[in-house]
Parts: sequence; structure tokens; C-alpha cells
Amino acid sequence: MKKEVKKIKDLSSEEILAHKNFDGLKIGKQSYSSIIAVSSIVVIMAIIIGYFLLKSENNISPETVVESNTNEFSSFETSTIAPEAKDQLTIKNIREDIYWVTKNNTLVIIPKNGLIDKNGKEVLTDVTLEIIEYNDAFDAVLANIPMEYDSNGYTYNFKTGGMFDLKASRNGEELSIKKGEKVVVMMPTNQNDAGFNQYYLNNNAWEFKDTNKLTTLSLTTKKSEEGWQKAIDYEEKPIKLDFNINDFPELSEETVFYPLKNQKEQLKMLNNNEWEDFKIIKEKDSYVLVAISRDKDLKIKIKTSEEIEQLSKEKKTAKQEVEYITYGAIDEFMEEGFNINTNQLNFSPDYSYSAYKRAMVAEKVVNVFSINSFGIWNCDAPQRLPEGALLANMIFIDEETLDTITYKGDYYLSENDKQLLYKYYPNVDFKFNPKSDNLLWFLCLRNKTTTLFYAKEENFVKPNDSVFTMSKLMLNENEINATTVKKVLGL
Amino acid sequence: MIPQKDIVYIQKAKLSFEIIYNEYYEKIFRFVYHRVGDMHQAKDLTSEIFIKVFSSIKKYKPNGSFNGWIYRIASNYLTDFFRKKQVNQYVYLAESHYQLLSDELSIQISVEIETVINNLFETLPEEEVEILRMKFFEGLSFKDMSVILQIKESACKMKFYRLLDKIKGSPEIIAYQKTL
Repeated sequence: MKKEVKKIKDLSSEEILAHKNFDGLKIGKQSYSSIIAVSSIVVIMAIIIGYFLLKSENNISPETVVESNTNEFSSFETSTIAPEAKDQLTIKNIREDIYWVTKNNTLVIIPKNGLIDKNGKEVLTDVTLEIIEYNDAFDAVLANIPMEYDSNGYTYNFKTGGMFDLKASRNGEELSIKKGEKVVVMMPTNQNDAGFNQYYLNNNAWEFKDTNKLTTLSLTTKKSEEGWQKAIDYEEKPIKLDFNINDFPELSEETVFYPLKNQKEQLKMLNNNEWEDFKIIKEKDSYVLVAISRDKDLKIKIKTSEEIEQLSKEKKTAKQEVEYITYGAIDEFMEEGFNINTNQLNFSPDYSYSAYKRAMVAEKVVNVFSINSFGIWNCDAPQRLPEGALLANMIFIDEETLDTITYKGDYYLSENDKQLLYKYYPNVDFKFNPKSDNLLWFLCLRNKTTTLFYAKEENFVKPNDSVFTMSKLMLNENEINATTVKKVLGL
Repeated sequence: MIPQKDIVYIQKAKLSFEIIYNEYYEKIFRFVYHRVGDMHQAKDLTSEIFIKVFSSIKKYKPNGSFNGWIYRIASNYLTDFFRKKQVNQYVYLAESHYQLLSDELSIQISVEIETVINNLFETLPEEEVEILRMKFFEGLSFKDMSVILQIKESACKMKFYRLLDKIKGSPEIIAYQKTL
């Protein structure tokens, strides 16, 4: 776009400095000593005044206590919310490579001589490792980490596959990774989408840089899925039926049957209707229960207790196969990729390498970061804003009071079925995909109370309606954490 | 400029931010004013930028240029501001800017050369305008510019000198010089 040039006047230093007002800066919640001191005085004054007011027999007229009646909300500083997963490890003496498994089952591998102090000297004693793990984009947003990525002039939102902030220190002094050494971080995730890449948060610019280095260890095999599916697909509760043993000589009179699980509708009909008679037939070598009524017959696929026993054996075999394949894959990955002798590998007396592998089996994918500096690393797939319904001039209505909510801060759209989160700025048109499982929300402040406003699926039914009726939850101080907020939003 | 060791000291001791505020207020104010063209808006935005700087101070790594870091925050803040407002259709030039450019081109300042400079600026891409602002009008070092623009220092130098050549060799300037 062609720009127009406008002439402005030169400002003298005096003119500029006349606007200087350090004391007038509304600094948020920083713990500066001066602010603490002022706050302390204010609190003490309030207590003293409160004491004297109470002592004077509550002489306060109702007009004295005025609360704002406006429905105006300001932005809430999300970085004050603590992330869910934080972990720390202190090592007195480093005698060999460090293998640290965090409480989120993330494995951090640091070479024995991989840490240096600010003078470039190797550090082998009193090392403290700290990690904050962000499980999803929501955690990242709460921590105020930018979840946008600019590429060739386009802004993308991140779909995160795992993010962490890793630091090392000795006696409070930050340590670095020695040049030429690499630290490996293996982060399990249940997201197995393609297109993830490894990004580093550049602290100077406060934006992510693509490092193009992510390795993915896939733990999902087709065989494992088939095996599990075959084994678990029956109802736990058995049915006892009378049948003629002559029709089914392979069965005994004590035989019980289990309906297959993937017949939800039929099982519902079986339970909710009255039936005149039941009989068992065999179709393609499988047993079928037929429920008979005057109007219709209902067929339900069933399995005998003997068949279930056989299935259990198959399930066990399938599990062993899965474990064998996955264990082998992890061993191979560790040995070939990182030169680790897995035969002697144990993380601690409480946590063996085998236990780690067992835990990994439950995951679909392990994202492996190879990093050369500490800080915030992210494994992401950039996404454009959703296409579909486009709304201008969003109006938020408080569900309880039916007042219009005056809020000019950023707000978020979560597509929960895709684990995606988008940030919207005020005055920017809101777009959403009507086919997604949408959730619009923002945290805001009024009268020092933090409120979470959110609009769930039912608000997204009319794609042209820019009025959103917002549910709300006022949060106590001890409720302002990622766990509570995520629980309310159903994330 | 505040020495590097003092920045670290301020960071660690969490002492008053007034030192940084006093040191950078005028510079950041000018930086903002040259981009929004309005003194009152510049005042508000400068305050907001300092709040951002203070709340982000822990994220500053002492191995980088503090000067560049603080300008980078200001630059990002303004980018966000313009994106939210969806308006940024002007390039603002002050009297002194015309003077500096005329000096660089070895041309006597006049109403005519101001018009030529205006026409020239209207055709320049945003990034080139920004390079000229930073180097000429704000007097930033190439090191600081590299932090703000997130490119290498050498790339900054190269871009700036190529841009000067481009301006000096532009048809508008050449045509104007011929009239003198």
C-alpha cells in the first residue's frame, strides 16, 4: 500500500521531557521494592482506618461504599497463572551423563561435560535443573508465551505438540550448554499429527524461530491398534440365557454370553423395550441373540465366556507384541540416535529404564528435541485462522445479568476437537469454522476480581450472529490457576 | 548509555526502574513520535512501552544489546498497535529529517527538495523507510538495528548502504540535481 508523507514538527528535549512521569506509570503486579513499600503503607493505613471506623459503631451510610456499576472489564495479565507441570532436579556431583525423567515423563539427557558457566568453564557440581512443561497451547497462553508465528508476512497460530522451558543453574547463576554439545529432550505426546517442527523462542525478539531439527519417534503401529481393538470390544457385563443344548453341542448349560460393545443403539433398544422371547442363533460362526416382540425382532452380536477367554489371551499376546515392538523401537532409537547403551540404563533406583518404556507405550508419539541452548522450545505446526463464518463487531452479553460486557482486550477461540487455539485482537473480525467444536473465552478484571467469560458450542450455531451470550465464573485468588480454568472450559 | 554491568545489577537487585526510564524516555518518545506523528498518542504509547519493558526485564539476557532490546520491544509494541488499529498509512518526516537527508545528498534544503523527498518516501517499502528512520533520524548503531530488525549486523550495513545508493541514484534525485 502506498503511504502518504506528512510533515511533523521537530520536538525539543524540553517538550518531550515535560511528559515524563515515572510515578504515573501503572505498573502491574511486579514485586518492586518501592511498590511493596507503598503497598505495605496503604495496607497498614487501611487496617488502621478500618479499626477506627469499626470502633465508631459502624457509622457508615450506605452511600459511602460505592461499587462500580459499569460492566467494563480490563485485560487480565495471564502470565501470573502458574503452569501445571513444573519440576526440578539438583545434582551434587556429575559423574556421568545426566538422564532426568520429569514428572511428566519427559526424558532430559545432558552430556557429562555439557554444562558451562559464564566464563566457559565446565560445571560438574551442585547443578540445579529446572523445567516447566506446557502440555498444550492453553498452558502457553496462560504463561503469556506468544503463540503466533510470522512467515513471509503471514501470521500463523501454533498448534503445539509440546513445549518446555529448560534451565540449568549453579548457586543461582545460569549455566549454558557447551558449544558442540547437545541436550536431548524426549517429550511424549498423544498428538501424532504430521507437520510439527522445532522452534526456539528468541528472547530478544520474543518470537519463535524455526530450527528445523525435530525428530519424531512414533510408538503407534497398525498391528497394535488392531490387536487392542479386537481384544477389548465386548461388554463387561454377561447375559445368562436359556437355550437348547442340542442345538449347540459345543456349549455347556452354564455358558454365559457377552454382547459386543459396538452396538450402542441395539443395546439401548434391548434394555428399553419389553420382549416376548429370546433365542440364540449362529451367523457366520458367531453367536447372535435374537430378542422377539410382536412388532419386530432385534439382533445382538454376542460372545461366549470361552470366546472371551480366548480373546483375553489374544489381548495379552497383542499387548506383548505391542510392547515388544515399541520397546524395541525405543531401544533402537536411543542406541542408534544418541549412542546410549540401553542395557545399563537406569534413571534412578526408583525409576528403571523398563518402567520408562512401559510408560511410553501409553503414548502415541515421543517428540525428540535436540537443543544447543537453554530456554523455551516448542514443537509446533503453524495454522492459519479458521475459515468459515466471519463476524464483525462482536457483542458479548453477560448470561446472568444480560448486560453488555464492555471488554476491549484480546480473546481466544479454541477448536477443542483439533486442540487448536487462536488469538483474536479487538477490532479484528472474528472468524470461526462452524463445523468445529468451538469455545470462545477470555479472562478479565473488574473491581480487582478476575472473571472468566466463555461461550460454548450453542453460541456458534448461527454463523451470522455476532452476539455471544457468555457464561461466567468469578475466580478466587486460589482458583486462578491453569487446572481450574481448564476444568471450567472443559479442556 | 547505561553500562552493561549496571543493567545486570538492576535486573538482579530489582532496584528502581527509574534509571532506565530516565535514560531512555526521550529516545523512545522520539522513536514513537516519528511513527505515529502525534505528541499525545506518543506520550501514551511511550508509557505503555515502558510498562512492557519493566514487565519483561527478566527476559532480557545480558549477552545481548540492551539498547537494541528496548527498541525491539518498542518496535514490536507499535507493530501490534498498528495491527490492532489497522491504520498506518503515513510516513512522518520532521524538519530535521529533511535537513539530514539533504545533507547526505549534498543538496541545499528547499521546498522543492522536500517535495522530491516526499515523493521518494512514498515509493519506498516499509522496511527501507524503517532503516532510514533508525539510522538517520534515531542515530541507532548497526548492532542495535540488527537486534530490532532480527537480521545480522552485516546485513544491516549492506541494506543501509544499498539504500543510500538507491536514493542517490533515484531518477527523482538525479532529475532534481540537473535543475540546480
